Amino acid sequence: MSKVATTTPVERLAPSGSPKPPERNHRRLWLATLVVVLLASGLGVWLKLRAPSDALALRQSVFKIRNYAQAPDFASPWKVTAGMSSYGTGFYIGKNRILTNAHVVTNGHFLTVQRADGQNVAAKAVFIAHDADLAILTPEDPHFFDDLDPLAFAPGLPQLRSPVFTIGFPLGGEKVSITEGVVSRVDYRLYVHDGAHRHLLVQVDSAINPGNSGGPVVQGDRVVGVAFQANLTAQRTGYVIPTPVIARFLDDIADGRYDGHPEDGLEVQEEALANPSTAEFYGLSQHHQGVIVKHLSRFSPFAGHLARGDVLLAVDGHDIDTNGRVLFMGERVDFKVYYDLRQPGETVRFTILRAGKTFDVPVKLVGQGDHYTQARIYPDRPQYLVYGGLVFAPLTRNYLETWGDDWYEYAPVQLRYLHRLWEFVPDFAAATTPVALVTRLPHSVNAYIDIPSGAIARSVNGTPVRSLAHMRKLLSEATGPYVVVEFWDSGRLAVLDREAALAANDEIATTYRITGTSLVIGKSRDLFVGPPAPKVRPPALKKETP
Amino acid sequence: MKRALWLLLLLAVWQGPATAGAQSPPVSPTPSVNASALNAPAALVFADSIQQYETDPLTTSVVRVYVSHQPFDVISPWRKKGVEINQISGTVVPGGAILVTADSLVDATYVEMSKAGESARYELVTTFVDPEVNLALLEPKAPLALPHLTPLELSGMLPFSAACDAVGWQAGQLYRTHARVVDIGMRHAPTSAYWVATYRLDASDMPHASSPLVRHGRLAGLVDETVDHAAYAIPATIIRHFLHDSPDTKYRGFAAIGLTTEPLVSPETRSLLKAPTSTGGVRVVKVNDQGPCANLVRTNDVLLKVEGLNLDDHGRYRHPVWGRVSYQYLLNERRGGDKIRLTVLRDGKPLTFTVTLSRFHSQRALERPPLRRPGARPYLIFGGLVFQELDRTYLESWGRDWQDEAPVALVMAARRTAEKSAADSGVIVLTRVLADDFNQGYENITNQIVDQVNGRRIHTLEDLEAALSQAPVKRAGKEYAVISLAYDQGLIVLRSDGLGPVHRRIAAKYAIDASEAFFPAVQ
Repeated sequence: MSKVATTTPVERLAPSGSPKPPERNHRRLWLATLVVVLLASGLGVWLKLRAPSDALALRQSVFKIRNYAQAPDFASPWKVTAGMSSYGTGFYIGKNRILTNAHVVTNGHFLTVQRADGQNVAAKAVFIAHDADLAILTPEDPHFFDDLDPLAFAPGLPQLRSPVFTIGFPLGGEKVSITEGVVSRVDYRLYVHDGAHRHLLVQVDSAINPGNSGGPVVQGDRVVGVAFQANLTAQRTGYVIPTPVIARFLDDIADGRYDGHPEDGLEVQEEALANPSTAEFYGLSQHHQGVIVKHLSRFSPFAGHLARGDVLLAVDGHDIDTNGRVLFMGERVDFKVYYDLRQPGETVRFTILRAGKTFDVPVKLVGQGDHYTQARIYPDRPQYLVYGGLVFAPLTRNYLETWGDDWYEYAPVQLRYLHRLWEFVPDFAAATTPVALVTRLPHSVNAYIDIPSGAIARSVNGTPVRSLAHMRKLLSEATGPYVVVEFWDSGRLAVLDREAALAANDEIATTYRITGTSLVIGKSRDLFVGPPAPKVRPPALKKETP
Repeated sequence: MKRALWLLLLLAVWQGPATAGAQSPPVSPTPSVNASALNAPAALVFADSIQQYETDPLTTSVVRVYVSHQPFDVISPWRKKGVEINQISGTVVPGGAILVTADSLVDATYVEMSKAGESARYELVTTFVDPEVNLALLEPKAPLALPHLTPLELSGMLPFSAACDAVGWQAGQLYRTHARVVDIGMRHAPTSAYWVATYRLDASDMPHASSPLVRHGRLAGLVDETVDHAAYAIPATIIRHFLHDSPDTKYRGFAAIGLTTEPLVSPETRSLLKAPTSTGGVRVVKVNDQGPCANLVRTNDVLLKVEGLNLDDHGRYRHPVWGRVSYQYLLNERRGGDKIRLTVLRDGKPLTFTVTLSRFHSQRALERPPLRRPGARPYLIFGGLVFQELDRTYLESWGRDWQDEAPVALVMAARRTAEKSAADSGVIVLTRVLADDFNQGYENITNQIVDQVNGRRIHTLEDLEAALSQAPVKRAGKEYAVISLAYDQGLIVLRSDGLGPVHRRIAAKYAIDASEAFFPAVQ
């Protein structure tokens, strides 16, 4: 049960639509200004000019990435929406790889990368980490990097107030842009791309705008992070994925497969032990330390080892303060950083206080399990199932977001409740993902079914539904004249004549043009996992002048 | 898609006999009418219409009632908000009391009346309220000082398309608006979750809530809500039922049957349940396990008859005046303790039961305590933690759209069941924390449901007081309160002995009177 959106909106930086036309170049005025600045500031100006020259050199290895995407429509999951294009930034990190953000390449059916000298080639996303908003692209042209140097990473975290430069292709022009700022803050916050995971991040005050996503943020000649999101309500508040998170990602994919950040499922109560009564109660009056375990998800690796009410005093030997923070690379950040940056299979050690005794608890980390999550998902095509014209799909945040930007107010309350508190609903204790009725494709077999869109299917013929795949199994294996779907909370029923529903499936698939990777239970179409959806036809590539 | 979901969620859903479409009138407060002569049109300046008084008999039956409201500030429930005065109509009913809608008396501090053609004002007190049907009776505080009033006799049922007058006060004059009954169906009154028969009216000018409907000189109904272009009125038959028992301390209210049903229109579902179309009937969806039908009726039974009357596939029976009406009306006509015969179809075979009806009570979360306990909004402060009952007034602090805007856990707690059952004993919410050194670390907690205190389940403020005083957690010679919040939102652990100075300090800091509900009390 992880925290969802923060109160301050942040935005991912790859816009849709084409870039604005380049601004007019007032050459003379620029030159005049430069001369004045040089004359006025002497050495200080010289120092200032020195730093960008590294950035200028590095910019050859920074590319503009274009994504011709087709976003799925979770309210009509069989539909292929019109394509749209967006762009962002990426950079060469060696081994034929370009590092960028996951959201720059998401839903991308055709990707291109463009060098500073204008060469524009097709590329493929070889690794996408949605939980960390990182991705690796490889251009299809093996000589793309021939005369380029890879960018190297600076280890650790940049110092507060130290200057950094952001290199990229933000809106406002066609050419590479370099903006300057300082490191404002090191924190542990929500990564907006999937909307459910928090990791280490760095805040900078250089202008980070749409298009900068995926671009390197450099200090000297080293990369300290990847620019990826910005805060809409504040000014000059850009966020950067720092090296430690990138390093974890690169380590993870070394074996050829992305396993993801370790599973969490641990919720703690912060600040309670700052209260004198509470600290006294736990015998911790002499220490300003510790947080209290308030929730453990069933799927959490900590569930078998920690218990509600345990006080977490330290992680891997690092003291946890009453705000839940630890010292990490010279900064105070959320204690979870110590296991969030590990790989599944590694062990983290907690020092806990339980029933008056202090002792260590080692826990082996695991990868993300198969269970409902508050994260957005990014499938090639959304999963769905059509039976007798009733379209079912797994409940996902993406589906909730079809109710609009204010979905957390206007989506049906039962769905919002499940999304936040599904772990506490007994009906779904054994479920992987609740399944929703997305819509009804009208046909005589379902004419009398009057269940609202978004209703959650509780059971099929009396058997509780655990997931969409499980529902498919129950429907395929159903015998008897009727199929009865019971809905959660309302208790209402949708009853179909089984033979008639199966017989109608072909007609429904044809009428409503349900093709491709659909799950249509019936006579001529059965089961799924077909090839990916057809690609959008790419526009003709042109060599652009630098 | 979005609209369809809206319709299903809102509590006040119109179920008319003719269509399955639903409209959803939100609760609308009585508009404030400033009756000051300063606002009268400039040309004619009369205080009241003496002419009308001399000739219109209704002026002795429909009086002006002035209600001063002062709602509590639910965020700081020891404080009240500003005072508002509403003018409504009061109807003199047989027995001499004055009938108004219950929701017009929410948060009332002072009520008075005046009669047409007179300047005198008479203070009134609420003598009886039934929020389940949104009706209340007022009587004068000093009975002997009353002017001459004539009760209006009650009429019978108004048939579909009947014309009547909605009567109300405006600018010192009694006005009549022509109204026509365009529909008769079941609806939730603004103050409750009970399905009650309601007239839907089309009126040339929208009448105010609490306006009587008059037909042939008799009281045919009481308008209780106006929304968009429709007005809803409580029929005289409901008023008659309410008046019949109200002086009696053994008021048995309106009946509940403890069943949730849904229309049975699908031929497939009928085949599945072995209920031929010719037999009509509705499907039983849920049976209230503490209700009248517990252990008798089951989910998937088909309810065919109530009191021997056949139900159609939407649960309607043939009514001599109203055509087809939901079987719920048969409950409107009955009281808690009355018996009723039900016939259901189970596995294709009919079964008949006689059940004893219960009295309907809305679930606590949907109640408005000021209607039941005038003058107080219950709450408790412990160490700066402010606890309140979850009720409709609290939910409505998020506005009319509270179902969208209030926290999901609170909304779902209010939606679980509309009707009170033994399992529904109330929900206590920690609404906010008055920040103080004593509760440092917990000051950001808001709107969390309390699960347990000191190991005891908490449903009411009385439970909370008992757990705090009787069962403190003792450790190293000191006493603590351990408050656990629902949905694993954490624990609050605070010293529970020696809170006198803490409460005095918080009372001073937040300008809360010491006599207010601190627990333990401030000495």
